[in-house]
Amino acid sequence: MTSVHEKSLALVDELFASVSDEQFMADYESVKSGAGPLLTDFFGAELDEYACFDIDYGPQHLDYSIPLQFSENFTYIHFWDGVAIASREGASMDTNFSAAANDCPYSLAA
Amino acid sequence: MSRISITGFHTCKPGGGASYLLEEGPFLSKDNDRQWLTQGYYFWTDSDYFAHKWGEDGYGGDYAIMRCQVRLDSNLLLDLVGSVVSQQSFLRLVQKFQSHLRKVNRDEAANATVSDCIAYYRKMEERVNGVFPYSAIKAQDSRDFGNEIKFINGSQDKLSLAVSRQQLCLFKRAVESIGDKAIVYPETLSEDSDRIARARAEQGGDDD
Repeated sequence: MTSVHEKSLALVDELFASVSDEQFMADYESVKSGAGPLLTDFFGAELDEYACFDIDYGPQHLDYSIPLQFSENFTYIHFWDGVAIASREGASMDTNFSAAANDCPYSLAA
Repeated sequence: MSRISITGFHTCKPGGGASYLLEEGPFLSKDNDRQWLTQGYYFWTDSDYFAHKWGEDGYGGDYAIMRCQVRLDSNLLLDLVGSVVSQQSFLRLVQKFQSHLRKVNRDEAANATVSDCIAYYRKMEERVNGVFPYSAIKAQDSRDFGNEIKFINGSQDKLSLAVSRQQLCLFKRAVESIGDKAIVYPETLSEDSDRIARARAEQGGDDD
């Protein structure tokens, strides 16, 4: 009897023999690490020193798992009690952190 | 076809109380690039040791731990910790994936990760039934594997003394495999959890 493993490997061979390079790359690009949206997709490039937004993931959101990437506009991203704050490199987050956390104009639904 | 049962410990936020956690937990991870084994219900297996470590590191010490029993058809588990057959199969899946990626885009091949590979095959499973038939993956990382001791003198073969971080990622489609839920930490929630279980048992209800 063919095991699920053997069947899987045989089907993978068939898959790779039939899929076009374009389709393969399109599928790969859609799932690969770092495929999350860029911050600038949400905020555009014209922002001040920092941007801040609520993370509406419900009571079990995990702060470390926000599907956002750094971009050239925002080098650092910080997490503060359910709020994410992106800052430009060199921005003084020590002074801006609390104020930013209390003033979040953006909300990202999961 | 045999069934397996795995004890899993799920770390989560304690908000909502025992009743809420028992009703809603465990919680599906987000579908993003931070998930080592892609999206699923994540459990530390066998012991609550790493569940506590994760609670301290990932939740800043404010966390709850839910113990569950995951019961699966053994064919549906890709066991990269305890099954040589699964390890061999996954090795070949990774090699095939990397080989094809290298052929199509050499630059990308060097960056592909375990998560990428699994995510790709899971996506393909939606199109071709059987390509990646698994409902759960068990894996461990290689941290602390340097702590070794020789099996016998006169041989270089060694036993790793690492306490490996073993995780189970159960995919959403197999959520029904999760049973026997109980909060085991913190103590207050654990006591509430026990009380709820006793009350349900008295009523003759299911404790899930």
